[in-house]
Amino acid sequence: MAYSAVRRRNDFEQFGGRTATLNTVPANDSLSFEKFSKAYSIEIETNWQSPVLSRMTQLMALGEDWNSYGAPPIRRETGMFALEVLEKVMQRGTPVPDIVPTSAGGIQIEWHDKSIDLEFHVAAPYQCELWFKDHLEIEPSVSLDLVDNIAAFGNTVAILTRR
Amino acid sequence: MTELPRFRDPPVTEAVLAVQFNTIPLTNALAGLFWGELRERYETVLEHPPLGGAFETFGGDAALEQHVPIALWGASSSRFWYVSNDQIDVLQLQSDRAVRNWRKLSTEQQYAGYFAIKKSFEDDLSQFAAFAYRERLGVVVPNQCEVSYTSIITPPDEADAGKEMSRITPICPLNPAGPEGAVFEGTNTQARFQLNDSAGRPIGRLYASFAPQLAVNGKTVVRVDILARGRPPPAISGALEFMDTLHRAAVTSFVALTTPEMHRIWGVENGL
Repeated sequence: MAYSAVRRRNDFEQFGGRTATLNTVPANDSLSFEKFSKAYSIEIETNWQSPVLSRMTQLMALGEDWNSYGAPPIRRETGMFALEVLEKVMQRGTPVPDIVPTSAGGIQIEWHDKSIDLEFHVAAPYQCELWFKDHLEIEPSVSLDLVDNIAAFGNTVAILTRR
Repeated sequence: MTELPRFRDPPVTEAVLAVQFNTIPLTNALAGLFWGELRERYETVLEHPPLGGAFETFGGDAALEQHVPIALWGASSSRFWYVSNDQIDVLQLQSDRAVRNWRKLSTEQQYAGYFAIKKSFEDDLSQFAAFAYRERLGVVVPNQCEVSYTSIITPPDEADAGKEMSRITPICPLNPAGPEGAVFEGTNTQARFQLNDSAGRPIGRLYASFAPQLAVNGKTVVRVDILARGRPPPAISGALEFMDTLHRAAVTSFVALTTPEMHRIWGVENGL
């Protein structure tokens, strides 16, 4: 697989991951500006990887004492783990999160949007904390330590995305 | 624990053992210095771009296919291939990963076996950990382990591997129906399994894929990739022990995902 050290030949026809489907609005649906605008912004918001990767790369470049209070640099595996988790919980239409370094050398992924505060702190791989607060008080608050099961984070991201 | 199945002539063409660890500041200069220690066994060194990280988590909405890991490396990072004198073994090394590849380079070459490959990897990994400590790079702390196998399977009776995949694996249907008048050309398939410990807690994941390929002789063969990955205890000894669990998962799933007809062709030795 990714680490293979054998050169291989693959002559099967490839489609490059593209299909002919254009994902158009159903014929009986009206093309109001509101609908168009919503669909258009959802399309844009699926493209979260680029800004997130760009921000992560900035964080990886932070040196020792980047906050002038003795903070350690952000470890690469912490960034990798945060990206891996985002890859699994981000949905079509999820807003792009803010990503901030923490003074302990971790990474915080956060949204403060749609009357929801959602924060996911990665101290190191498999050392995470989740905090969720719905200011409309429709959904219960969440405060959890997470190790390798990220279902609770996925659920809160889904709530944010649906709202 | 039950004995693992063995084949007289297994179709494996590559076996890969890997340990991912917390990043250490391995510069290109230090990788060259380490090569000096290995040079009697690995006379060639090659440089490649580094691999991205991979961490198994559970409860998320993971895609069936493995995604290409996103890399967060600076421009100065490299992955080094230390290639053995006979070209069969490769030790790959980068700032957060050590990988051992065993490669089948000729039809006469016998599969070395998991435990022999693991022993040589263990020796190299221990040597690297000692080097890292001596050079003040830090302690090698594993955070992920992998065992993977690639096999090239020639279908029986000159069968078309793409069309008759069901003779190779039970997870592919025989002659799947298509649109009216359409001619079935072939298929490939992937499967994913969550690996659990004896208490039912998730410890890793296993990925399997079957894909037809055109061989150099113009015939279609099936390439089978099986990869087991999970989070080991954070020490080299624990990681190597955990690798045995991944190996067992890879072997048993290979047997479960291939047909008895193929097992007979490969010369099953301990009666499945």
